[in-house]
Amino acid sequence: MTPRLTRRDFIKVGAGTAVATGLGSAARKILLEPFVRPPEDVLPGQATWYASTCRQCAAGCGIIVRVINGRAKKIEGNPLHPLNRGKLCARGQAGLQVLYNPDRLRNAVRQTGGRGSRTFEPLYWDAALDLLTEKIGALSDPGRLAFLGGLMPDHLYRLASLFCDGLGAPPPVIFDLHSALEGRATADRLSKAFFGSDELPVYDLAHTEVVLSFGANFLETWMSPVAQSRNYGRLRQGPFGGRGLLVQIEPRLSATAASADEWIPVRPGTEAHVALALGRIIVEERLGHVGSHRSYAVLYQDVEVGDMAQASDVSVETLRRLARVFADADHAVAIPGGYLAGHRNGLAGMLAVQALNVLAAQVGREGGVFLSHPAPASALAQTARVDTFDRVGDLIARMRAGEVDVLMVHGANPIFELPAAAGFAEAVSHVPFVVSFNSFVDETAIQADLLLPDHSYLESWGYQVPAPGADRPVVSAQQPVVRPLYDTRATADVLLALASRLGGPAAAALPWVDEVAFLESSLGELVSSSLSAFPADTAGDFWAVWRRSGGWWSEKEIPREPEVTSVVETPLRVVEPTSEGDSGSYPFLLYPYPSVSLSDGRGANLPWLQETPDPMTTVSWGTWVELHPETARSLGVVDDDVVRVVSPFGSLEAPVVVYPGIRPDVVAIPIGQGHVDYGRFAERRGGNPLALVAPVTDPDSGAWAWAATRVRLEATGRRKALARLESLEGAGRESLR
Amino acid sequence: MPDVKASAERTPRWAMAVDLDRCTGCQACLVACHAENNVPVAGEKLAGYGRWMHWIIIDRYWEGEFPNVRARFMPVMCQQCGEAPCEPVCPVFATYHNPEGLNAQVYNRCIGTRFCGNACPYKVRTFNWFRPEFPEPLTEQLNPDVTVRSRGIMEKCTFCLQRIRAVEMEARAAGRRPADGEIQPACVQTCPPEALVFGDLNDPESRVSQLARSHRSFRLLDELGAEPAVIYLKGGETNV
Amino acid sequence: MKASNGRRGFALLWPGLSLVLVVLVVGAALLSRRVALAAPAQPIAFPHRLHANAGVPCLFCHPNAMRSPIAGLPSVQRCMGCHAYVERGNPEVKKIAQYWEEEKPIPWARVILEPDFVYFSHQPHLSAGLNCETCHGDVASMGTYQPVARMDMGWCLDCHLEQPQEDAARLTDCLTCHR
Repeated sequence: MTPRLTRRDFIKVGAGTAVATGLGSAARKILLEPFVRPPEDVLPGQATWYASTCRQCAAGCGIIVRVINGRAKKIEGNPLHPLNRGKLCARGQAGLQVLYNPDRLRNAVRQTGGRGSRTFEPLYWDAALDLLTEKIGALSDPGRLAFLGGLMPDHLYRLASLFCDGLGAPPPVIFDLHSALEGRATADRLSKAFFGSDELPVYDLAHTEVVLSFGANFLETWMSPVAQSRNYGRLRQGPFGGRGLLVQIEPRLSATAASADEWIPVRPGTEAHVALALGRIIVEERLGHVGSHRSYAVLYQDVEVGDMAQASDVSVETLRRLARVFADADHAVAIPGGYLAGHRNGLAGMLAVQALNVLAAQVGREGGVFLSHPAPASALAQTARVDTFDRVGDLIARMRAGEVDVLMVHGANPIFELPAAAGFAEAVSHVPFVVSFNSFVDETAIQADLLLPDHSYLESWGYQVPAPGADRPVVSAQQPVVRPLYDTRATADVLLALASRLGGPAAAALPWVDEVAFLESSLGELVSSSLSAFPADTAGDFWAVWRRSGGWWSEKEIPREPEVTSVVETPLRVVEPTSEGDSGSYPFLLYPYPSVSLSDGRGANLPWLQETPDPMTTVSWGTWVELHPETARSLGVVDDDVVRVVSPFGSLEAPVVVYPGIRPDVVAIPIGQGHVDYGRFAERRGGNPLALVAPVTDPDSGAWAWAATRVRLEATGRRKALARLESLEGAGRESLR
Repeated sequence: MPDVKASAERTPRWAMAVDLDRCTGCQACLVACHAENNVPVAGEKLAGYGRWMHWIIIDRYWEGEFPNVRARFMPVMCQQCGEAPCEPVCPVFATYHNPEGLNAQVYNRCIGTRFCGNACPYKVRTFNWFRPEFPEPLTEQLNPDVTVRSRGIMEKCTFCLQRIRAVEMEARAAGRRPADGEIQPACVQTCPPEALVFGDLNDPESRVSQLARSHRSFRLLDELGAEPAVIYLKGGETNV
Repeated sequence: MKASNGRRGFALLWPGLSLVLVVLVVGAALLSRRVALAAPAQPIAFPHRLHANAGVPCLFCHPNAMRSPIAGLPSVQRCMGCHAYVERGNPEVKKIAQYWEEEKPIPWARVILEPDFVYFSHQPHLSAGLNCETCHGDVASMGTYQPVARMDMGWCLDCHLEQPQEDAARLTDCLTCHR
């Protein structure tokens, strides 16, 4: 039989020929278009780094962005910045996908088919501004305008406040879920009550020996995780030789608890009972530093250690051991975390924790508690402070009563972020005209009539006073690192243009020609500051240095020692936690927590963050329900079985993750998924646990008690496999288990 | 050029130290790596099949039972083995050992047999099962210094070779050698608790060499004799 | 008989076609060498010869070669720096002036194109003392640029392998150019 060339072989040879001859590539014509006029700071093919400020959470870390040929390629921490010293978290690293997100809103639009129709008609900016000017001008009373802000940069908050003030409208209401989960509003109250200060405390983790963290997830999502993680590294293996001890007191083992030396699975809402018991033991047994006890004995006069142990489910022996460890250390610190603020006894509890620092004489001492610096210039003092849930509730009530005719929303997504039971979605239907400045069409923007997208933060100007701050006064600079990609417009410029069109007191309140002029005037006081790490003689020099170094800060470290108010003269109250839903029908307490990658849900439209595995469960791209192995067994479910979680306010279905680090009476669900709108990567994925949460507050602070809702569990009999790094069957590519 | 000669005389052995006492499992390294190295996103379905593409992952180990339960984190990336099991199995020499001890992966040679992934005891090599997708304008985020891999290619951590080369070239142009700590892979650069340290093991004074001599140091699956260049430092103990 | 003829004819079809294909392959391969070395048409008939003879150094118009991976093309502003005064009547120069007035970049066609997985940088080659002519040929005698070498991996290695022993080891490592 002679070898024969088949048709199949012929095709193979033919295909090879095209490759071998290289005819394919020779046919390519590629154009090289050099600049008409070369910009000074661009060397083609070489990277230029621009300093700016991260806007992925409220912390305000400094960043530098690598730009090649006009495109942003990589974000890194600014090594000079006193807050984060070159370091950055997962969310900060993912910022490029905010800028280059395929689902960004690219120009001003009107929703012509009615709210929720998703029928958008593009609009010229002039026409959009005319329309908005007309709506505001037609208000019968300026009080019928409302401004709702989310995670706003400080300069924009100041401008919006001046705008509202000039018009005679009420000041902007700020609500941001991430800040609510951090307990920022309650922490503000605590600072005021304890230290008489508007600024947040800073806990000196780097130089301490013992840390008692009461529900503060400070390595993942609480306050300034990058700065805190950096200091945690030094606590562990610092240059000082010793290795600090970290004890985490919370009902679910978070990644911070995983890094801790000891996890105390306390009964939810009674974290502060532990703090009270520790204080009582220290006073009673005269532990630690001599002489400081008598004056503080009054604080603990109502505290009975046995009762505290009983209520918190922490043994008296453990309490005694912790008290001794805390009091005996030269440097020790107790941190009142965000989880405490989520209960109806939040403020009372946080007071009890902060009191431990006073008792152990750690206030204003190395390794103890310091205060953030206030803004170093009077024009910068007006910083975006998160409002309490009560104030948001007032706005909702006004909207529902038809007292709001124009609602302006910037950076907030209350329809996703507020508990469904708060009724924002229904209230918004009573507002005749809604404007959204959000860059993405999210659940709230879809209810707007007019959408005027702001630039992404990498295309924007601004400044930010980090809160909590660093070891010195800091103002972070924000500047565009690339030209705006689309026909979006800075909301600051929109407000300035509106003011000038409206004329009268609004125009007088906002006299600047544009955002940059406004920034220059706001920062003016800093030019002559003698503290500066980068001295400048003229305003021009200052502006250049400001942009080059990424902000202004003091050259030297200036620790700010707090002064304790008379709060320590009154006995601390023991407030028992209460929760919504009776424990008979709803046997479990719901623990919603912000995801380390998706935060409160604002990261859900970034594919890098969606793909990032949760550190504890290794799940990506989904929502899950964490159950104690015992709880799962009694319900007859295993990993990946779908359960229904029902509260008095709503229900949610998601697959189970059997989680060894959670109390049997607690059910934890991560926040972040469950978007209806917000782009292709976020939509129709997982569920939003906020649908289950009661709209109740801590009566002392007015803050949302988001951790005080009870739920019950129902098996559905269905299964849904979660995308996990660790494979449950031992199949796939999971490593080394 | 005397400096070029000097650098040739002492070839570096690049290595990374991972301090498990500092690692908090925060995943910043993983996202930084995606951004720096054009690592594709697999999506929910493929990630569920175990076809995710991360070059660095953080393993989480549970220890004990409630209430005395603990969890520990361990970042795992290509260990850049001295005696790499992935190298001899490649039929086309797409993976080989370079003079600096790096375990190289040459994408344009790779024909996708996946033998190397099979041979790797650390399971840190990932395979492009599908053509990676970057919906416009996400292509703008791509790092021009790193090849965008296509379907059918094996890939893995390179210790951010492009960053090593960039610093080396800059140093050579200035007539000096790279200083210790000057070269930082993306994961090392961003790590908030500073758990990762990168440097030259052939320089006894480098930080990574010092850490390698710590009583806490160990190598992953050391008994296999692969001689990894990643040095782990045990958690829960002081360094002194 | 007829059937067997037909079968034989059929049997000869594929080998016959493959013969034609071999001729095509060889032809195309020869042609492709020329195609690969052929330069694309440029929007302006730029005479390197005239500029070089007038004493303009390469780095005056391609200034980034010393500092960057990319040698760079001159901006329109750089062209106009001289041509606002020199040779204004020349029809090719008028084209430049038109791009300048319209504030448009000149769409030069790329002549040398390396694949995406090759990372070449001009800077270290110039630092090592190479002349532009070593790789790009006698540009000073050309009109628009005509490539003189195919610039494939073998061509790169021809030179990298000739370096002193201790450098050659580094310069022939795959990771020198591939990453």
